[in-house]
Amino acid sequence: MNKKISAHTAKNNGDIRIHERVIITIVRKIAAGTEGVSRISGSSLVDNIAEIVGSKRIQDRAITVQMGDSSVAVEVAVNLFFGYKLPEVANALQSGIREEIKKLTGLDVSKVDIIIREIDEPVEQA
Amino acid sequence: MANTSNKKIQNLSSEAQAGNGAVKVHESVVSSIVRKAVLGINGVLRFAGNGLIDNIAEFVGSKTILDRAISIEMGENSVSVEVQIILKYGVFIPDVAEEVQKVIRSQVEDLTGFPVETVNVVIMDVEEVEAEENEEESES
Repeated sequence: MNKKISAHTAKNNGDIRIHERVIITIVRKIAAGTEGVSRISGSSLVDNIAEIVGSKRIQDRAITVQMGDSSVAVEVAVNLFFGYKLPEVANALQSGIREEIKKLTGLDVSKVDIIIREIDEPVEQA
Repeated sequence: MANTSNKKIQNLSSEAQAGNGAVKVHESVVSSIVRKAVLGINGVLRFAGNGLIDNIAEFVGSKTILDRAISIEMGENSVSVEVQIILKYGVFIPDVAEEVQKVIRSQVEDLTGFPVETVNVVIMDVEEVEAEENEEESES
């Protein structure tokens, strides 16, 4: 099975493994909550439908995860809102992602590569 | 699973054999014990599965969902278990996973008398739990 996992061997006989989907979910949540981030690149109405029927593949392309034995490397492509300083948002994303992954999984993050794909206009308030 | 049908039924103990006769336990019994034990753990949402297919499978009365998320290996003198689960977003995953290992081991050993050799826990995803609304994947 082509499952991407990180192995923790627990003291009791048996492995505890974390699937890369966990990391992807965490990355999505942090990105959604980071100021200046409009969305994960590529996501749109079609992706929302795909998500509802249980396929997370479209958003997964914008988020890639490499799982090592005790650390994780992440790459995420995002669209930012116009007007934000790109390095600041990127830094906020990187530290946010690193902290949350460490906090929830105990895994260290070796790097967070940020790809800023596009600038979106802010949504008009009617 | 590639188990032959006679592997699915495990002799409970050789003592029973010597005295009153063999006591055999079907693998699905262990599966049920594991299922109940795991779902009672704080932080565990449910077993992993393919939402749409599982709902159809359940509708036609098939137990395939649980078979995928819970694997039992009945050895000569022990049992090994692997589970694939989904946790609540926000819990510290290693702690919950370790708790799952402990609870599976103690419940299965306690209720079947069978030593548990390996318990593998695979965390397939985490999901946020909305207080009022449903998550996008429907649960039964």
